[in-house]
Amino acid sequence: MQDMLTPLVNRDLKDMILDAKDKGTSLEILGHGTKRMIGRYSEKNVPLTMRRFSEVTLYEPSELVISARAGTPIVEIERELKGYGQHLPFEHLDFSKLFETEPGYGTIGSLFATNFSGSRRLLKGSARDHLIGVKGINGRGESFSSGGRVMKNVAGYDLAKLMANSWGTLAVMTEVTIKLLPTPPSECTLFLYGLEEDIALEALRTAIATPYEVSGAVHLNKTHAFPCLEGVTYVQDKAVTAIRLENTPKSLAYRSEKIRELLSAFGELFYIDEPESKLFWQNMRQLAFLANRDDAIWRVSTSPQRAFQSARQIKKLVDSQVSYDWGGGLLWISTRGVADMGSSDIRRIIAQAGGHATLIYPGVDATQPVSPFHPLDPAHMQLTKGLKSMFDPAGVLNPGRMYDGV
Amino acid sequence: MGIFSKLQEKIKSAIPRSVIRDLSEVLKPDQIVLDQAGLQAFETDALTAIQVLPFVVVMPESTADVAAVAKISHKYDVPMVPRGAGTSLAGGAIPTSNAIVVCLSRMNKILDIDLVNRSAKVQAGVTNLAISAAVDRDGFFYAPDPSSQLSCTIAGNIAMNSGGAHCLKYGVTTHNILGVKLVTAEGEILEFGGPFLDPAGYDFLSLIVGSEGGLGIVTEATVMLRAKPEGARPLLLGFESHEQAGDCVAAIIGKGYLPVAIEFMDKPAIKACEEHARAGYPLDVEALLIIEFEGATEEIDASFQQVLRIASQFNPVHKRIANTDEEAQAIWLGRKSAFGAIGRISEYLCMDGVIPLSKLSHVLSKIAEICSSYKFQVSNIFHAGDGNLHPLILYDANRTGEFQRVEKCGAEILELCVMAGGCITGEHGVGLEKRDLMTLQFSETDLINQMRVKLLFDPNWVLNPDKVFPLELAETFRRDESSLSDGEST
Repeated sequence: MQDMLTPLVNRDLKDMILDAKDKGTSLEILGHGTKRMIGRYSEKNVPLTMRRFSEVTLYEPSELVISARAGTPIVEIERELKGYGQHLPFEHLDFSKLFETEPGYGTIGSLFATNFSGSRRLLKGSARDHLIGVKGINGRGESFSSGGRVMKNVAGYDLAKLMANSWGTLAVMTEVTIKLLPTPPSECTLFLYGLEEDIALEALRTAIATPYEVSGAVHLNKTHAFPCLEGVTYVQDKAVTAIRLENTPKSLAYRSEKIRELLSAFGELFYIDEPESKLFWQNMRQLAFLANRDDAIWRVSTSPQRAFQSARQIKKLVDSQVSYDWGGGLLWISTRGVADMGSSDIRRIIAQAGGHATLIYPGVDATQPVSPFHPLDPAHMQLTKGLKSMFDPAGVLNPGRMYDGV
Repeated sequence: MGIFSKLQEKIKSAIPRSVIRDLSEVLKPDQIVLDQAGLQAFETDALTAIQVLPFVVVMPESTADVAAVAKISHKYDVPMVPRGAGTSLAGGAIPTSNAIVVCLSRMNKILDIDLVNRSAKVQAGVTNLAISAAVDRDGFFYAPDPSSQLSCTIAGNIAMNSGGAHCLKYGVTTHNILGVKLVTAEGEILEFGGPFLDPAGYDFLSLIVGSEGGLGIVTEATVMLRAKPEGARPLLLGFESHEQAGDCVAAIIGKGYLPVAIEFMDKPAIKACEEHARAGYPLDVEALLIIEFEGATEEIDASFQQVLRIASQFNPVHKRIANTDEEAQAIWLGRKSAFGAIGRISEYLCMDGVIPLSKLSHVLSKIAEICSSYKFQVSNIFHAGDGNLHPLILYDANRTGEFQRVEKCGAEILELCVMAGGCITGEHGVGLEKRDLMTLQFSETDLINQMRVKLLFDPNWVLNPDKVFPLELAETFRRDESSLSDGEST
């Protein structure tokens, strides 16, 4: 294990990057390391943590904007926002249960570097969509900024959003500025139990197509449902289809009744009020349904129209369990008993359907190396390598983390 | 030196006639515009103060046509200027004299509507409003709503990352595009994203949306559709001061209410709009807010009550709630005809700065001071929810040197916006108009990082070449990059 570098200010970080560049070494860019298990790992990289870059630098509740240094703990930001009835609307994922790490960790920089958004992404957009400004240092040691502190800004190319999902391979973010939203005053969830997958997806599609602003639409198979229902009143040993609404209590009463009428043909709808509703979606955000350390875990973004068909094909070929988020557009697949974790079948089927599959966790059966990130076609790989070489020509920042040679 | 003068200095290098010959081999005769009268229709866009006659205009009807044109452009190293409907207010579609203008208006087919995926695949020349019209009966719409949405194309929206009044809730173009098909400067066809969320790998979509046609020519787009709300209605509030109106907006948002739109108009704008549209706006107020909520009738009523309760702290002297669609239309009528209303009075330069809301009062006072020092009148129209100012500076286009003076005045206003923590464009883009002002907002290194992206996609710098980046800096950058031995980039 190499000594961890811990810069405190931009100057330190810049010197460390330039030093690595001069010496021909490379850095592993970390926040709290909560997502270190995801992606490719190289022991050659010297770990560098941004955890000491920790400070909320601006918060204007009346403008729905907050800026923070990249190493600021997410929980600290959420604590600050709570006092003003605001939140990070994209419901970022918490991997602590899956990776058995300390809960409540994770930095705001790593949240954006990985762009993992949860169930509310369906209605409110991804983490990337809320990243309105970035300051950072690229692999050349150059400080740069993009975007700013106002939510509408179309000056120049949007390098801020480019940093989202770049996994620290282009630049080290030093400060981020985020568009916030008011926390909805209340929420409820409607449950349908025991639906077949294709019927459940149709129910979700029907709900999402209404004007009632569904902010969560998931279907969990029976195995995955059980851990998410812990503490929820209506527990049944069946698959669960869940539809979340968030608004004022009066609106929720109106909207849930409308959806209940519309979906009555799908079965009996159970109304789950707070706090059980909150608990269920917290379990979703914490991936409670996947916290089985034996299974390999895949996260698949695909066309909702092709999701069921794709899942059925995958299940035919690979011993797997599939659940759906984003109204069918996001598949969580757990596999077991296959040396390549089902990679070849899953990726082939998803490529045909449109979308991509990310291996989040390899499970216990892994014996073959599998690229965690979906392989790119030659044209995209060429551009990806080109972009990397523009920002980090010497390959100092997280080299190989996403793709070989990037 | 003004933009126009700089353009005149552009070299009109001898363009080989073989370019026309090659174009005529891949396109039909009616897809090529060469005659003087035809070319004049493309010499400017909505920034009409600048006109430059292009070398040739082509009207592709397919992605393959665009790719064929791009290959010819690449072969002869001739610039291409993509163009949608030409509604750019920042001169984004104004050609250079040696350019092939690639006008996408014939690529106007909606290719696929997929309500299960809540997406539509459209050719780039489809108008913004046509998308919503196509899915209206199914209860969906396409959210970004630039004022020119009746005529502007999705290609232009993507180029400029356009927004509109309702972007407070739904975001701008970049939040509503799922995928694009694009032709590169070298004539290759690439696709990014598709009918699914969050594409794999680096976020190339975030670069392409808002790149002002500088990275590739978008020929198709997959756009996100949203379920239509049950209803939408505005209320109108008039205040005795800018401060009260601005503080009211801050209080509404700060208390957790997020209307779908909050529009602000100052006294000169109110007066002009009322005289033009007869919308029933009060003329005895200094500032007007139009605040719109969506939902069922009772939900909107409840939101109005909450907003009126908050607004009462700021002593609104005029309150008008729209209870019917007709009343709602009447309230919006004035705002939506604002630019036309001011245009009846005088020529104007429409600025597009963004400021933090907390600086509103300070910025409006300073704008008045700046315009007064130039002896120009100004009207302010403002997307108050997101801080997007539109000062309309009135000037006399017939007076020699007046356009250069109004440009200078506008630049001072944008500098003020940046000094206040904002930016030089919220929805119109940089184009020709503001390329030299980019240094107000960005350091040289910031811009170099952006230009490296341009160079990656467009190594010969032929796509909309004179836009976005300050000319001198771009020239220095290109010279320095080409003199590098590639040592760093290998």
